[in-house]
Amino acid sequence: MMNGAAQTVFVVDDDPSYLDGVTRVLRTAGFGVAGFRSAEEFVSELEPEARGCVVADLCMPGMDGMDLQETINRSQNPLPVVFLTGQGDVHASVRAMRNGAEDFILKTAPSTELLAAIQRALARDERERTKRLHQQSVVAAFAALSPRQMQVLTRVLAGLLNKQIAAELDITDRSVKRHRHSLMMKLGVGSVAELARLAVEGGLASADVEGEFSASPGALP
Amino acid sequence: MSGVTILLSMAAATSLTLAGVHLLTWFRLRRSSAEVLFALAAISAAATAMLELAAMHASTPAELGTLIQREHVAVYVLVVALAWFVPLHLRAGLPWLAGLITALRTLVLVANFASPPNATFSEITGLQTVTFLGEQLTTPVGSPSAWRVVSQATAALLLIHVGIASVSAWRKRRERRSLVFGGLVAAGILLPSSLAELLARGSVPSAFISLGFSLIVVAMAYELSLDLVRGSTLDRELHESKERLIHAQRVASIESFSAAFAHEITQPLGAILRNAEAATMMLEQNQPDLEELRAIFSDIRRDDDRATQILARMREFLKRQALKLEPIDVNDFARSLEELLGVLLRRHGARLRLDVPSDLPRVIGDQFHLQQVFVNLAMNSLEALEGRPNGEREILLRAARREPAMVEVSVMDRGRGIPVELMPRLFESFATSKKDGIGMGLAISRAIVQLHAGEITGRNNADGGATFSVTLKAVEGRAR
Repeated sequence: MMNGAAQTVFVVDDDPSYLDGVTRVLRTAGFGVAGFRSAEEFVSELEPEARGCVVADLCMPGMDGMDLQETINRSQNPLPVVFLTGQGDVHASVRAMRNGAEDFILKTAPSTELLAAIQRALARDERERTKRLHQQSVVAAFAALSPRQMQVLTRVLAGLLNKQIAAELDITDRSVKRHRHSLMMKLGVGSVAELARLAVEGGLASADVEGEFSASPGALP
Repeated sequence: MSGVTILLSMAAATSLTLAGVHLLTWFRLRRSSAEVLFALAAISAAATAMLELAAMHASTPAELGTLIQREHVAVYVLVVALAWFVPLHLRAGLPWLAGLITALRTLVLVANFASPPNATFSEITGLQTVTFLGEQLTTPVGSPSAWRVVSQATAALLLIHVGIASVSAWRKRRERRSLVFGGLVAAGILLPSSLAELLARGSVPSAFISLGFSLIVVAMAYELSLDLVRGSTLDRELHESKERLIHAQRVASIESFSAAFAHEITQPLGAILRNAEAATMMLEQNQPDLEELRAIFSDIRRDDDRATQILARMREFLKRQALKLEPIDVNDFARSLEELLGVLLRRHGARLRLDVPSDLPRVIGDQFHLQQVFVNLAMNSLEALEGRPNGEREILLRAARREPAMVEVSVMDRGRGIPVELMPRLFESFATSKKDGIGMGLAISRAIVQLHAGEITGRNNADGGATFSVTLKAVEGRAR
């Protein structure tokens, strides 16, 4: 774990018997567990810094498992979700997996499956959390650039030569070189390739399948 | 009594009895005016028999002349009734022929009264005694009327009319009975006609038209009775097929219920498994918490009970039963519906609200079949509520007393409502608005309610959604 903060398995199931059974197993297996009788209850109590994963029943009255997953995905804290179901509904399972569920498990399957899925989900939460943090810092770094630096940056990423950039921006060649140097220092990169990768990480640009590089709409000032 | 008197009296009596029976049937059932026509024909056959009997004992030519004149009225009624019975009942033949026969016969009837003594004789000169079956009977002597030609023409037309209809009915439906009918009527017309020849030669006292008419009456009665038999057979088959449909509907809804039951039963089963796994893991530990273990085993027992109850409910649902009518407490019934529907409704994010006063009289019904009806109505409501936001998916079950001695139980929702184009055929089989459903539910529901001698109606609410109401007979006596 990254910084020692505890991970919790959040279990959401409207059936009290099953909820008790699952929380017992998870606690005995050594996980931190919190149980909820409804998705609404869970959503209202979820904190943005909470780490861990969600184990949810697919069929619940009110907000069901699918709705819950969508709500979680859109929130500030998109925890990974493992689904539990009473029947093997192929259609529902495909939908759930497409929406990014970690796994889809029968309620009557042995708990080894559930425990394995939870381990994967917890690991995934850590990874994604780290990635999100990194992305936030990258975005902040880009935001710290001056407007002129930003202009130069996007043209560099577009593949323009220095003198082309100078012509477009109506500044001297030397100014371009100067801005280039300082923005790369600020961002902590040593090459255009690194710059490009950082831009992708920061969401300023996207790299498609052939490695073609394109600026995100609105990125060009 | 003489043979002729017995014969003709029996003919009259039989005809009158048959007329009475069919008039009664028609009065109660109002199925077809063919029965009224038959009654008229039979009454006229009886009248003809009595008039012929009287004529054979007439003492004066004038008396005989009047009797024959009256006979014509009876003959008129019978001929016209038969002529129209044919297209109406056999559903074959040419109606315009019936019209033609009626017109001609009316002509004869008018002439019958316009030119005395009657339409058979322009003049009766005297009486003649004939010995027949050991009895002395009188026959008329006189000159035939010119209208006899028309009478004979109508007889011939009638023969043709019945012949065409019988054959065409036989060709259409391949039923032997049409031919039997035609044959009997033909015999009934031809018999008197051939006897007329013997009458002219003085060998018989009368043409015994009434006996011919009796044959015709028998033919018509035969036709009608076959219909009656077929009617009751159909009734029985209908009842049986209703029961089969009800069973089939149960089997079909078992599919949707088994999905719900399967889901419901995996909860306790899954919980038992989890608890057992937890207990196993705890026992691996150094100091297993005995209190916790005790709690686990207690929970396992509780969940096992729950699973057993679910199975018991499913088994009850699967049993096919003929209608067993008994007093049902509406409150208990409503609560059983809640239990039965709870799973299904929760799965779809809906809920059932009950509005059942505690002082309702009990109703007469078959608990299981009525559950079937209300489950169907609730499922329709559920479907209509699709698309409504989660908080607004409510189905209301309301019961109220209705005069005179009935209870009305309604299922109400604020869903899509019933499409206007479906309203006229709402309770007929296969009328459906569902994409994949076959809409059999409402037809079955109505069949069940009808078997309860109750009523079921469906209408759209003024403020949205629909209400389906089932009215059932209340039991007199103590209310809860």
